[in-house]
Amino acid sequence: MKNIQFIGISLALLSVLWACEKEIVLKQEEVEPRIVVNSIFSANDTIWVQLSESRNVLFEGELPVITDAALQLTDGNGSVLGEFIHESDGNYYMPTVLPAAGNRYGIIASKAGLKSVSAFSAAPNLISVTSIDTVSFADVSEMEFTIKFSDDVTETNYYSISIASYNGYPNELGEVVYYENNYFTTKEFYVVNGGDDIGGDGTKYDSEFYFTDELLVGADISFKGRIYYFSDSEEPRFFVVKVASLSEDLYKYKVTYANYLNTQGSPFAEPVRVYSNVENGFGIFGGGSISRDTLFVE
Amino acid sequence: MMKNFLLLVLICTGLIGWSQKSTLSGYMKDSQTGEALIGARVYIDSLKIGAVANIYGFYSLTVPNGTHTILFSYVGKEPLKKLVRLDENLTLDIVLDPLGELDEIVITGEKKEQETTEMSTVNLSMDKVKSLPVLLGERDIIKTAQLLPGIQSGSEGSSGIYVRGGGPDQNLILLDGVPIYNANHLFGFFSVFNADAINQVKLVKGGFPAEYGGRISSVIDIRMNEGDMKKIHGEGSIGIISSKLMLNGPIIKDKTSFMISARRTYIDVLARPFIALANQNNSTQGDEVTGGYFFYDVNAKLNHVINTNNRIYFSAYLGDDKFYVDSKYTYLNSSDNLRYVEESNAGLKWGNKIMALRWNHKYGPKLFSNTTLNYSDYRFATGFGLNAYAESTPNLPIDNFSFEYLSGITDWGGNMNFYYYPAPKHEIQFGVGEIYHTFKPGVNQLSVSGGGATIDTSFGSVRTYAHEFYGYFQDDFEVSKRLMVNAGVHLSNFYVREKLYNSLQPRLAINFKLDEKSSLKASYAKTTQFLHLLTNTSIGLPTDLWLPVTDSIPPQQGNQVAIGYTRELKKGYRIGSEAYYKTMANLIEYKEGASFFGSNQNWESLVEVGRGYSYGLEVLLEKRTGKTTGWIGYTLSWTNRQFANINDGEEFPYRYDRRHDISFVLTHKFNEKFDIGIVWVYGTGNAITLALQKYNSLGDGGFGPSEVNHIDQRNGYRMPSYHRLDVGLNYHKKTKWGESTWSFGVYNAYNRQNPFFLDIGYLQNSDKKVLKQVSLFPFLPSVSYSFKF
Repeated sequence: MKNIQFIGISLALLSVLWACEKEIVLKQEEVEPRIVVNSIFSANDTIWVQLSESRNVLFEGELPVITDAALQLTDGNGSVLGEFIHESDGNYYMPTVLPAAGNRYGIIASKAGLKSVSAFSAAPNLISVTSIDTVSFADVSEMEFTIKFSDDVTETNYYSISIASYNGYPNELGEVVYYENNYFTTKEFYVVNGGDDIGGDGTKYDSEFYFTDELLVGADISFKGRIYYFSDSEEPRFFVVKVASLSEDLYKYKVTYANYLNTQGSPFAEPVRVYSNVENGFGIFGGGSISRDTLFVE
Repeated sequence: MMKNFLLLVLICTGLIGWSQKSTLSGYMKDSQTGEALIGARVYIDSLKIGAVANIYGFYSLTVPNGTHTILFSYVGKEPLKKLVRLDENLTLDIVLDPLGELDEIVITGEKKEQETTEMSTVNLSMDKVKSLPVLLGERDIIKTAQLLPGIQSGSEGSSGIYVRGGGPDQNLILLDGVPIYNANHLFGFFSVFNADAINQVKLVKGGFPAEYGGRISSVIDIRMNEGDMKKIHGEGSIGIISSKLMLNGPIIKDKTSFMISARRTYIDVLARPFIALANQNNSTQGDEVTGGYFFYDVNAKLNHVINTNNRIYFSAYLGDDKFYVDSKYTYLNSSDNLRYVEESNAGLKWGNKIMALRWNHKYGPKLFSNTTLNYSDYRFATGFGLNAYAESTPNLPIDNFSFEYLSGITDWGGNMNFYYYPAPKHEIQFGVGEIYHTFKPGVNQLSVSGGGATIDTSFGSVRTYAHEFYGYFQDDFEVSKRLMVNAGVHLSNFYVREKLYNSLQPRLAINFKLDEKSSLKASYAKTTQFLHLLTNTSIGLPTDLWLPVTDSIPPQQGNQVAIGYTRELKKGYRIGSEAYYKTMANLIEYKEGASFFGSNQNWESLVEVGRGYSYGLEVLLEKRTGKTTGWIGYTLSWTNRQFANINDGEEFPYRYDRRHDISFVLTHKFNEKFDIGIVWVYGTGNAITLALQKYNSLGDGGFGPSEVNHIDQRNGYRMPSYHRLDVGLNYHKKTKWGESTWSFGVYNAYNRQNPFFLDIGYLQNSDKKVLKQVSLFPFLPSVSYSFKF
């Protein structure tokens, strides 16, 4: 009886513990390389586009850039406005056309052996920041910023705000080296990222906050954010505040990409699909205009 | 109010049968055990009318006065014919003997599909449950139910069920009328139902009678054994992972009986020698680890006959799962020459407690009632801790840290149900009920001491209290010789955080008899569910949070239509086919990127509300008599979900969207000693979310591009199909004291590597990165010994 019991138990344990693994071969059509477009363009600024190729997830190594693509800029109706020139490492620029605010543009990229891709987006107007007020909380080495700007209430607008502190220290050669801290907090209810409510009082924490004006009433937007700075900095510190107006495409890309980065590798997080507006390919071609202000503190 | 309503119903319906008629009523019981024969049949052939005993074994049949030959029958029992003279109402309790040593199983006692309005309903035979081969020899009613069309299993080995595209939270699982919230043991590999303690299982997939409410996909109504009124009996088994014992018998003969069953696994006990061996090897390093896993459950029932008109039952279930790991590390600190100890622990436990007190009362030959008070409690806890101290001063911790996460749901409830039988083939049922819910969506307890700092705090979600009230009325009647209708309405409301939700849910089921052997059926049911289950896993880990509707998360709504055809064929065969279309509104799902951690706080902001639908065709060909019995089931179905902010708002397949689902179930009785069971299942692979390509991103905050793994569609990748053959052989032996059975089984007989999950990684002893399929159960033999006396 003891032998039977032993054999039974051993068989059961072996079977349960012997989890089998095998390779699943991916179908070619599931992993066919595609053209990847990465570009943020602004009104009255040269358009730069980076082209590369996708690979299946099993690929180990650097993803290849595309240096010999035919890349065209079009208007919103698809009429060609000009040809991009390859500069280096898959980076292309448009030498002849500067995008105008509010206009819609497209790109068409093609390369032998890959499906042609296209993408469209508009360059939003630059935001005029009305004021940036600061309050220092020296006891906790924090600076609070109140950023005010006007919103066009006739359409849905998409925004991002970032704040960074820079603190300088001399190195052994006597040169000043600046250290950047670009993570800050906000309690604004309308931002869509920033993780969980970290303090139980609505505080969110990230390097850039995104929001639309859908939940905001009226034309004036006031955003408060607090950032930590190194109090022992020996050089004058400064802060950089960026307020960006984003096209809908770029906004969706940035929000989903931030979410993707925050949850990457977590087995408990729901999967995130990063937004792309590239037809037949991956990546983003999106308009965004950034207002940048630098504030020095003695 | 209630009294007037009752009176009105009685008067209205009583008029229908107002003539020279009398009512024969009573209980139908097993002669050996005295237990109620649920669904037993009473039939008068000369009048072609009959009735079926309800879930308490009560029957009522009103017929013209005169002398009638009445047939009483039940599956597996000797039919009993009685000549009865009726000139006034008569109470007649019937006891049926077991079948003799017949070669073939006689099924005259079963109600015929073509004679009832019930559709999308399966009554599971406990004999079948006990004769089929199963994983590790553990008989499981839920796993047997998964073999029926329209009822799908989740992942490998799981006892979760997905009915017609619905989620696991949409199944109302009732044990003696009390809801069970988590029906899983061993991380979902076994259900909490001990087959030895179960008398009857009824599973309703659609066409819900008005008596049922609160869930939108299915009802699994499980009734425990009542206990033998005549003499003590027992049943038990010793298996690879668990043993169980069930005893039942009279406390006062023919008056009071009991049933108690208990089961416990011994995985923890089996693992101990291996752990001890590992500790022995590590002892020189000061490490000592202990751990284990076990589950147990206890079912108990008391049944007391007060008099012919009154009977009370008390039933209870208690079950827990516990997984724990403790470690102890001892080391010598050279700076002070003292020995220090670091103890750490981690664990996971969950369990259900339910209790029900029921009172059956017979008001007269035509009216019967059941009143129930019940309690249900589900709780889940996980935690970890650390305690560091000098060996010489164990009460002075240097570091002490503990974290515990607790969640659960507790219900107190009561209901009254009335069964009224005004005429043959006419049954009215109505009732009211109230459930007081306490939701504990998640509380974190943190305690830190030592090192100068002391924290002892609780944070997380606050308890939410809610009232769920319901009432229903249903009338099952014959319109003509061919047409039968069950029409009803279920009214429910839910009060939470000063918000009141109301729901009126019409129900209709129609049976049109084509001839003596076949019928067409159709049904419609609207259903409402005031509870949501927030889940992040596919294998039934009890980290799931049960949550109420709130002012921003509305109740789930289901609408289902079904049409069906059933036909009795020759030689005990029967074929049934149903097509259905079901819509589900206000489903919840975690937002993209949302995580279980932190979901106890402000969970409403982490979920999306959306919709789903499912449609399909189910075919069931059964062989019900003879030495060889079984069925072939086939389901062709589509199930999709849609949420505004998931998958770019586009529809996507539900994880358990299964285009084809086939089951082949066969049992064959060679003789009184040997029988064999064979099960083969096939299912389209589960739909999972998998990134197949990667590409460079735009870059992140000046750090340059990083790679993005691209997901083409939520649940857009299909795992390989699933199929498996199980074979079991039972050897029965009569003994002086009863009967013993050796059961030998093989799970996954041809060692199919079925997918449990897919992952990008490396195979063992290989440096090639691949899409890896991990399978769980290969060829898995089992043996168990069972006995009954």
